[in-house]
Amino acid sequence: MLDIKNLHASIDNNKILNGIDLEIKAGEVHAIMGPNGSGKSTLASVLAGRSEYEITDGTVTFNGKDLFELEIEERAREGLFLAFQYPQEIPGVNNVYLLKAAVNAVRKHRGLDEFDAYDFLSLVREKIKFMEMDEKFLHRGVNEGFSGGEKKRNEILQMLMLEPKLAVLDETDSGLDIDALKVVSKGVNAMRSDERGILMVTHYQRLLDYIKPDFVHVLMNGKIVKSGDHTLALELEAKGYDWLLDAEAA
Amino acid sequence: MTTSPNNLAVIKTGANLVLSDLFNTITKPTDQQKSAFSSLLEQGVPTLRTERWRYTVLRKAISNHLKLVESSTGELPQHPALTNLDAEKVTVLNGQLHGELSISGLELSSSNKVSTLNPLKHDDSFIDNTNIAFAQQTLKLSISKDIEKLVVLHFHHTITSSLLANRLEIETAKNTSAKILVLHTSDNDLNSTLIPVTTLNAGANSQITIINIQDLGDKTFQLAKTHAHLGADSVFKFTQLEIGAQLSRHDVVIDVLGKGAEFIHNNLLHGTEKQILDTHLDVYHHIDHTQSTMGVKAVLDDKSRGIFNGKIYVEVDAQQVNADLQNNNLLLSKFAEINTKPELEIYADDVKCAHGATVGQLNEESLFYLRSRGLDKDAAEKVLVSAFSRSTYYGLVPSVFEEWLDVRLGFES
Ligand SMILES: Nc1ncnc2c1ncn2[C@@H]1O[C@H](COP(=O)(O)OP(=O)(O)OP(=O)(O)O)[C@@H](O)[C@H]1O
Ligand SMILES: [Mg+2]
Repeated sequence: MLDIKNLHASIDNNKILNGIDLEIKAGEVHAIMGPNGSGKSTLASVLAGRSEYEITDGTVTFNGKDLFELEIEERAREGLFLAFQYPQEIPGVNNVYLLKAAVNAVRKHRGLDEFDAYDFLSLVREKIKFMEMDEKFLHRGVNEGFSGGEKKRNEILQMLMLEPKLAVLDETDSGLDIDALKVVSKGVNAMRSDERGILMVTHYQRLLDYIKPDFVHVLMNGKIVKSGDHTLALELEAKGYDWLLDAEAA
Repeated sequence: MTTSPNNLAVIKTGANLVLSDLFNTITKPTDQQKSAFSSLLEQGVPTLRTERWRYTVLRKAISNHLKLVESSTGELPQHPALTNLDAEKVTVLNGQLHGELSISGLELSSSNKVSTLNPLKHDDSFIDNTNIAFAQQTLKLSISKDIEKLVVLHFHHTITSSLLANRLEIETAKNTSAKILVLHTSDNDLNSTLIPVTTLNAGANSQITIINIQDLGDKTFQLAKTHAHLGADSVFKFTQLEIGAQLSRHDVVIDVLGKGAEFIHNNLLHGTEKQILDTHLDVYHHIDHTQSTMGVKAVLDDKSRGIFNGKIYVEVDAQQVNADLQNNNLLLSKFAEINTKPELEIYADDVKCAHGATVGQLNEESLFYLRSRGLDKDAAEKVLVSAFSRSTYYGLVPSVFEEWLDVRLGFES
């Protein structure tokens, strides 16, 4: 579903990604861990299509298509979803308005009829209840004045509505209280299916207790330096990252 | 030619000549018209050297293609937003009043006598003088009771190459309330110059809302003025939407005269193509314990230009004044331009006054976020522009006008 080969990216001549290889197949859940500044969010941004980054080498194929040939919105419509590490606040744009516009844009692309107001609202009510959010969030500006945790829930709500093929979750667990972590995990687990891939960026093994990944990768200095199963996360928790650098240097 | 030698001395520029020739075609000007005209000539038509007019060229608006409207013909306009609006409506077509208002507590009459509001501190009387000199009649709207129903005055203009000065004088008795929507439209391609002046004398403890929507044709010039006197504890809500016209200059002068009075203002300058939209707002707090809140926004696309000068003036004894003026501007094209100048002139020491201006483009992060959710670039831009603009009319105009504005401004199809 997603095939990243030798991906190099830089910004303002700073090399951030230095040859990433990663393949995610339908049904798999991958976790990426790594120190601050190692390039995790950069990878997520490059996948979503942020234009500030220059792709200097490598390819990314998404569902058989060259990802870099697609506009930002085309990637979304093809089923790529990025839950942002820092979701943008957009005052004056109703949360529910954005949800509806987004869902209908994706449906249209898939050759489905746009939702009518009634069907849309019933669906949104069901999902917002599932995320244990108050309905009043629907009528607030997108992320406007939301707390950190509320923003993260809102990202997952959008994901549930859009039903992407590949969800990239950038530190969706950061800043969540214990109950919120459970709810967000419940949301992500609800999306797990044989047709879907999930790529989660996280700093904490704790999240992986709730959402058990099939693979764990360690990103350092813009490269994946080690991959393993979920036990790798436990090892990282115990030992930190330094030993990997030493191992790589050796 | 009846121009007096006295006046000839100051006739220098083309625009002054144009107005003199036009004035001479008035058969029997009243004394008020004559005196307004001689003050007009004394001061002369402002040029780019006049500080308050330095960004607004009047050359094209006052040129020798203009003539006065002799007889009013034309079909009454059907405005899409008005047909379904539950309101008391009259139309003023080419300066001529059609229809009447028949609610108790409200009287609309037409007169050839002008009552001016003493401007106190304000000394730019070009629009006033021109309006009084050329107004054929004055509409007087007096409110003596609470008026529940919305009152609509639709000014429409269809006569090409003409100069027309409409004058509307509103008076509210004490303890009354009313909501008035004034819509200005003209045919597209109509190269006329309209000089509408509205005055408001708000009685003590009266609550009045005026919604002024300027949606003139794309070749029309407008030189407008709104001048209000606010009595004690009165509240004046003034919503101004500048959408059409080739050039629209609107002077808003507010004299806050009575304790406890409040002025609330929202304004949108929405420019496309080569439009010039110019608002000069002057709010004078003459007395203590008064308030004003002003939010002025400009959204400028293509080669359009916005000019906003806003001044809050607080008189020396006017303590405990609360005033806030915010001007936020969104430039959608690299050729669009805004000249903004919010000012405070404060002589009292115990006041709370704030002002600020921002100029920006669409937020790239927000655009990216919206597009990452599947909205195409165009749709994402529209969402952001509408979010910016709507705060100037959502909840402030009747809902049929909200919908009409959404379409008119291109946010909805
Ligand atoms: N405009 C820029 N100019 C220079 N360096 C940049 C720019 N933008 C990002 N970087 C750098 O790229 C590196 C990777 O950043 P990125 O956000 O991808 O890290 P991360 O792995 O997500 O970190 P964290 O765990 O803190 O979220 C950082 O060192 C960052 O400072
Ligand atoms: Mg990050």
